[in-house]
Amino acid sequence: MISDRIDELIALAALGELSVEDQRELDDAARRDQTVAAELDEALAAAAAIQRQQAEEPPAALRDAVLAAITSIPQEVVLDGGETDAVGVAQRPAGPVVSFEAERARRRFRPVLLAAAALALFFVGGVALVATNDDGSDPIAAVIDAPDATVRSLIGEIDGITVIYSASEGALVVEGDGLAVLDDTATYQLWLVGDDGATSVGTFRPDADGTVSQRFGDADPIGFVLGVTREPAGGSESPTLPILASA
Amino acid sequence: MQRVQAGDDAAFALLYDELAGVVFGTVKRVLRDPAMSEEVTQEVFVELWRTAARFDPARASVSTWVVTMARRRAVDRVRREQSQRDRIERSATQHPREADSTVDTVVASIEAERVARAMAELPEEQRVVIEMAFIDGDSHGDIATRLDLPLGTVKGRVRLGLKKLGGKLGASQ
Repeated sequence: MISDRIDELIALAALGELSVEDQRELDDAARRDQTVAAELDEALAAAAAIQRQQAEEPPAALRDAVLAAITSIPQEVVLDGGETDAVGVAQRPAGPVVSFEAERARRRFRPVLLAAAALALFFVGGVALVATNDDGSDPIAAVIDAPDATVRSLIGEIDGITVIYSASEGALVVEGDGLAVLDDTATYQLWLVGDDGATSVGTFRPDADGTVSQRFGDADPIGFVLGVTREPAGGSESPTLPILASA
Repeated sequence: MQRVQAGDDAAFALLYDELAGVVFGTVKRVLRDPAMSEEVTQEVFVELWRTAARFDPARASVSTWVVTMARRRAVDRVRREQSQRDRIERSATQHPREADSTVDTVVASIEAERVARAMAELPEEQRVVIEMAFIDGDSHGDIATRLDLPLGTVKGRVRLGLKKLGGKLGASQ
């Protein structure tokens, strides 16, 4: 017997209107109870059967855009032994799937770390250097307005995150809007993902309105895929799947 | 799909050719706006590529998995847009029912006939809600407003309607 609450969640799943919390609740229920999983699968299949009748070919140019886009998008890897999750989704492993290549990260970031150490010499009187630039300007605006600023919009399970990088500023800014507000036990974490692993840029949390605007130094995203994960408060040393958004 | 999961971009191109119309159609029903629908369609296929390893054929067909993904992403986009625009006004000006084209499409395949037959057998109150949700692309909030029903009633009718449809479609396969 399925509870009214689970029935409601199944309806919302078919409508594509589950919140993140609702999705977790339904996933947990489907894992625990095969009847829930079967009812969910059947409802989604029925909804899909109706929606398949609304097929409409997109413009031909979209095909080229999609096929070009995936060339720079890494695929997730599911570890062996993953159980079945809801909605035909294999369970996301809690552990890292992108290995942390510390040696490479050290080599890559060594010049930046040296620069940071040099800057630390000017750290006097407990005043954070990132609060304002030397000329008193906004350090976030300095990156966004820099002549060499480049913008990447991250896409995935969550949208609304943009990363602006300026080599001349030696920093990047994470701008986000409409993000799920996290409780105190969790944080978002930004990663640079390369062929050999992932390196943390830092953590960020949206405000009560779901917006964030945060500057990170010591990170050069050129040549890396940017990825965002949800991590325990304080962040993690390696990313925890799923990657919520990437570019 | 196994080849896509293994990173085969040629197989992905074939999958795109097979599913692009369904994804674009699903997204456009929700968003109405063609340009925005193209953007979201691209996002869906990028997500499909990125998360292909999560697909479990024991739980769903590829098209069901992708259509579910498309619907969710379209709804997410609407939610974001709602903070910037007055969607009701946009819906009123850009939301033709396109009933004729729907009918044309429905009779175009065996599945379409099965779906149409199963839909016709639904109680009126459930059929209307199912059509508004999955043919018109309305959210359950929009449906509740248009029909002046409590949200819970709309969700209940969607659930009951899908349950009956699932039984009818499953039984006829």
